[in-house]
Amino acid sequence: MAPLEPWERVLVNNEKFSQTVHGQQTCISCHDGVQAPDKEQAHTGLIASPSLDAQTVCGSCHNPIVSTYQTSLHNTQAGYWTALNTRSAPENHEALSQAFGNHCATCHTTCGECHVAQPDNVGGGLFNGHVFEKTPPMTRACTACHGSRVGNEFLGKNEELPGDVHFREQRMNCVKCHAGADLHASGEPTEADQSAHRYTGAETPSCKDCHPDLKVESNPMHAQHGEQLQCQVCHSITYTSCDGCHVAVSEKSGKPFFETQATYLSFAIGRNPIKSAERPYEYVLLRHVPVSAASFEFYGADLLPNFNALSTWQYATPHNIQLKTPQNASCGACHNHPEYFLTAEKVAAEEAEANTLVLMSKLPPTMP
Amino acid sequence: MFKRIVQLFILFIASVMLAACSAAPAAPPTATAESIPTEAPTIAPTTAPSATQPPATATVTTAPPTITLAPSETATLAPTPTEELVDACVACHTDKDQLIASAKPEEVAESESKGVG
Repeated sequence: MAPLEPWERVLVNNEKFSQTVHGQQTCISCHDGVQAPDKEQAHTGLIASPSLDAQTVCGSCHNPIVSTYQTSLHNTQAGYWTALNTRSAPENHEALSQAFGNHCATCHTTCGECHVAQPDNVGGGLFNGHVFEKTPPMTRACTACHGSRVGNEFLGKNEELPGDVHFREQRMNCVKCHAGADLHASGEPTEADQSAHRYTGAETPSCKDCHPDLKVESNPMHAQHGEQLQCQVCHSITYTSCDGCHVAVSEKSGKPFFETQATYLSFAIGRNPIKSAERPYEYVLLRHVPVSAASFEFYGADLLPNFNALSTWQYATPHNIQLKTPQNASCGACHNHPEYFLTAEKVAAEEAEANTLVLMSKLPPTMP
Repeated sequence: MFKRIVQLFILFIASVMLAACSAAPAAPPTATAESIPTEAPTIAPTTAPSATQPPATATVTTAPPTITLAPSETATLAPTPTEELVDACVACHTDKDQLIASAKPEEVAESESKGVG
């Protein structure tokens, strides 16, 4: 997505905006600043992103959502910290906190960055002349951040690979499956802390929410595999994985940057690393995440001493669902293709121990 | 004489009634969809409902069409933002040319990041 020109980012369409509920507020009631014709004077004390203080600015009218949003992964980025915490040790937390602040927390999303303007992380800019959008525009909000993997898969931007059937045939947008309550977080964190990572707790959304009838009797594959397989194992196609992300702060500009060693298309069926009552599947799709033991070495030596505590091939839900896929064409179309399965020889030697639990110890029997 | 007094009294009563009729207010304008505010938040943001106030929705749905309160509230609340806000902030931020002219040159620092984020 091309960045907007500076004027485009802040051009207000007052004909539209003044007709909306939010347009009944004064500018300075949310943005502070001063009423003055001179720009510098007018911008004295300006708050460009009022929803950074969501509880005060947005919560006065939208309190229930703002309150639960405090626990949302969109707000906390807790998934990153959960992984860092698991792979590190307490004595490394200070250095990792600095890295987290520089490289992970920049994806933190405010109310305004979904409902008024593009996220700062992708350059910002009002969506629609400052009109508040109840449903964030998919490509300017959701896939602006979730683009390189989910967005490309869903919209069919990976070369020669079709987009997700829900988008291709039904033009469904993200919120058709990911309801506001899921995106904002919907309530009290459980004992297990629902904010721990995106796959903690109930499977929301679940394919069965819309497809409760799996035709077990008439579909022999569903009858045979039941809940042993995650739906995506049979209904996803090739998806993106990444390797070797390293982060640092530029000596030249003083700005944080990253470098990813490789990005490639992959398809890997392996054992479920987060098996639970909500996700009882024995076999799932795995995506290689770009962490390495040296990812944060700029901030200190050996900051991830427990690197092997989590696999580098992680539970994945590729967003490129198809009714018919190469692997579900027949029993043999999957069983006779060892290239679909994550086996030891496909894992880098330095990551072998981390992935012990997700590797296929044996391949499924060949079938006609 | 008595008859004259009675005639005068009748005339007086008649004139009083006529005067009363002419002073009566004209029938209030029929409230139309345009004149009744449809968005409760024009009133709601600063006045939280209290136990003594009827809920905003009740006011809207039960108000007779001839109610005079609603138009007067609209008249005092709605124009305020547009009249007071169409000033420096809005004047500048709705003017593309002015925004271009007043924009500070941005330092386009080339990102040192490499690969897919």
